[in-house]
Amino acid sequence: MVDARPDVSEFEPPTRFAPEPVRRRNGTASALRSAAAYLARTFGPGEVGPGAPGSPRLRGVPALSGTLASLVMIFRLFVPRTVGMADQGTGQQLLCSLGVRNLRPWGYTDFTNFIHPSWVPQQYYGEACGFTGSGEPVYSSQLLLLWPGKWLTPVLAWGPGVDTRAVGIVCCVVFGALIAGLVAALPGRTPFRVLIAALVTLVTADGIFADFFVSPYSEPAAFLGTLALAVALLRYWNGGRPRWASVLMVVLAAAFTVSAMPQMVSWLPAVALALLWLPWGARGRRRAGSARRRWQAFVMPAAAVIAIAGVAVAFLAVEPKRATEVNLYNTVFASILPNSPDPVADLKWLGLDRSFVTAAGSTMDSINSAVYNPHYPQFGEQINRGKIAAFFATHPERLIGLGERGISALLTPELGSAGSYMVDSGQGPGVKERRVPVVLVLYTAMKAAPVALLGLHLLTLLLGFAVAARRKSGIGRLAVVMVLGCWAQFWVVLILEGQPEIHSQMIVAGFMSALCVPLLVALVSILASKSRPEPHSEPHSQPHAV
Amino acid sequence: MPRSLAKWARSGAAALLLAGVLSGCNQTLPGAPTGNPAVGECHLIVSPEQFDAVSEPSPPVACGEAHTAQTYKVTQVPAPLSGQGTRPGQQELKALTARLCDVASLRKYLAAGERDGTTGLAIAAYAPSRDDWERGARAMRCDVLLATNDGTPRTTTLDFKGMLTGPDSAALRLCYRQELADGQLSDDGVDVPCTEPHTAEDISAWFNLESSVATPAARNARCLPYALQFLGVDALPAGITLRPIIRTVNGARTVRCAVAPFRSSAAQSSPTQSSPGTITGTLAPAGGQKRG
Repeated sequence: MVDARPDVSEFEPPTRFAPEPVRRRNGTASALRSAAAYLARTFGPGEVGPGAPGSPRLRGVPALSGTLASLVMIFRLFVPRTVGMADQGTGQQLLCSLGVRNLRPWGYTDFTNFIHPSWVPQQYYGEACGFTGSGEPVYSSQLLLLWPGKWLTPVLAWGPGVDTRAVGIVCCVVFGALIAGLVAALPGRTPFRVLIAALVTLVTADGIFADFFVSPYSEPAAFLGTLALAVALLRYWNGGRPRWASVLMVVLAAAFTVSAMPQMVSWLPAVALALLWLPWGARGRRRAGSARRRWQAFVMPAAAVIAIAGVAVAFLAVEPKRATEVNLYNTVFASILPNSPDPVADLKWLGLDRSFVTAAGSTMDSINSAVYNPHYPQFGEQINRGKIAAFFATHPERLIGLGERGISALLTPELGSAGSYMVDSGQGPGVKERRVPVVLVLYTAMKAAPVALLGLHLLTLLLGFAVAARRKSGIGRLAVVMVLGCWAQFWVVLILEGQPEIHSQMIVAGFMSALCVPLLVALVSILASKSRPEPHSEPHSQPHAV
Repeated sequence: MPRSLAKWARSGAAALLLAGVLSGCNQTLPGAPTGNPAVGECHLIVSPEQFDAVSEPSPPVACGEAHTAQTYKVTQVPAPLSGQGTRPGQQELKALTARLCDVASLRKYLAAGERDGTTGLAIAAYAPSRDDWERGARAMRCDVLLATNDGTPRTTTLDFKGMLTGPDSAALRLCYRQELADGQLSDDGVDVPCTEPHTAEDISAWFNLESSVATPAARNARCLPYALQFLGVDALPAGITLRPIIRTVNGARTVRCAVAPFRSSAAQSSPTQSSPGTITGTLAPAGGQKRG
């Protein structure tokens, strides 16, 4: 349902990208250059940017790519046996709202070692369903994937409730649709588009991400939302000017993404930047007195930003108060105090009694938890997100150690003892499947030199700016937005959600970082190709579609 | 793709989104008021989330129907927590469980004698809901659950009140199933309710395995008074023997006094032989134990 080729600018001439001519110097360099030239000819982007004519061979390719991507993911998750992500105790918070409970062992260690995909009907009362410890309802756009999964479960003869395997199939189908959209929205020749889509599929197929598809967690909505947002933004930028449909798709994708998990609200600044970062041509078309063009060029994206911000604010407003309290607790007692050179001074700065120092390093469930301190009500009165942000603003040196711990967590994306297999799989307790470990291997290698992650981000950012500056393709802007969104996510998790769950909370930032790899390939391909501005071509008023 | 089709597709996506959001409404019901629980009410608690919840408003079920829990005590949240206008957090309230929902009160509710060993029981404490707390309710509900060894609740149709003096007490009593090897029973055994096949029945008396009780005879002599108290007799009846087991926990060896039929085909009427060397049921007298 996505245009097969970008909208065509009315005024900008298209630019043709072709492989750089090979300069013969010596044997080795010549061979490398020849190889690069061959790859550029085969997989290079060809013509990209506003006004580039669509590939005549694209018809049917997005649908075929999407179908293949879906099948690859289904095969990867269900053959020869089902793999997924074991619940670590919080999966019920969301799924219980569908009126189901998990069929699993009672003991914590027993149920975290394996996946237990079957959820049977259950009537909940009061606080039994909702956020742990308070029963407040938990909301997530993941529900939009869970409900089709609930409808699909009996069809697949998996019982009357919800089976997370059915949810996994729904996720795979949605993923395929997004890959189809990506192929359609990407610039350039068909092999280039398919290559980038294949790399995105490869990244997503890594067990550290794909296993979440068969789980009760909200991460699939975050992953798929991020991809949907990328596709919607490419379409938006391809249009050269914001058309209502493109803007609506960005709004819907962004609303889905930011409401996946509270930490996804960190996408908001990056999405705002993306919507307001109009192509020069679009701005250049704004003329004094042309109210309609001004509306299209600025007011509509601005309204979209306000709408997305509204969704984000509404989502945060319904976030369980208990969740906010737990996050703030973890930030103060498990993040700030244990790594502080002077915990008592920090407590004083935060307005807390010095007796809380005994709770340094604790979580709410610890024996030395601060909740048992008679002064604990003080915590609720004194601590809020603004104060935590102000603390780090006035103690910037703490961010260095915090960032190091965050990078370490991001590069260790596997969740503790959560197993990947079902009980009857023949696999041992807590065994993880690592059949597509591309990102895991990359991150494990990076742990030797964590600065490499920053290097990956900076390189993506710089090349993104370089490609964006040429105004030839939205993929440059997408790279910039992806990196900035990742950084926002990274710091929001670190500063506002504390340390104990940091590995699981960094999964989405890890996914966004991993997407830098296909983005880099695309950016390098574009930059490695020589641009040859073409003479002005006839404008196209209607986009071709598949 | 024709533009009209794209438009339909977009409209469909929007409708799906709306439907999803609307259908995502929580299906949880408010349940019964939690401010005034009553002793003796039975409840069906089946999930860990229900078990761990701060309040539990599921409507009571008749104790003759399938249930997993029964309220054995209702008490009040003590100061200073009771003085808080908003309900304290889960950890603070759950920390009260051991103090308010004590085992002594439970044993009294079960009519357990001094020598009655029990198994498969779990205790849960529930506070009023947030709304009921703000209306002034401070009642703490103490429930006893019938559970398997891993904590999974077991359904029952039995009333727990005074159960250890009744005919169904075997379901709560602790028995041991020892392994038979070379004609000898193992020192230790698996904990089972006495309704399951077992080789010995616990009499709630134990002591450290020291040199003074190193021999079986010495252990039997030490256990004898407790066995007589358990059986409510002055002398060990024919057909019943002492069979203490030895349990090792973290390197510490403890003797747990237990009794058993003297022969596997003992002339006891209530315990029945289910397989060679094992019996089911209890040796406890229906009328209770002899005190003192």
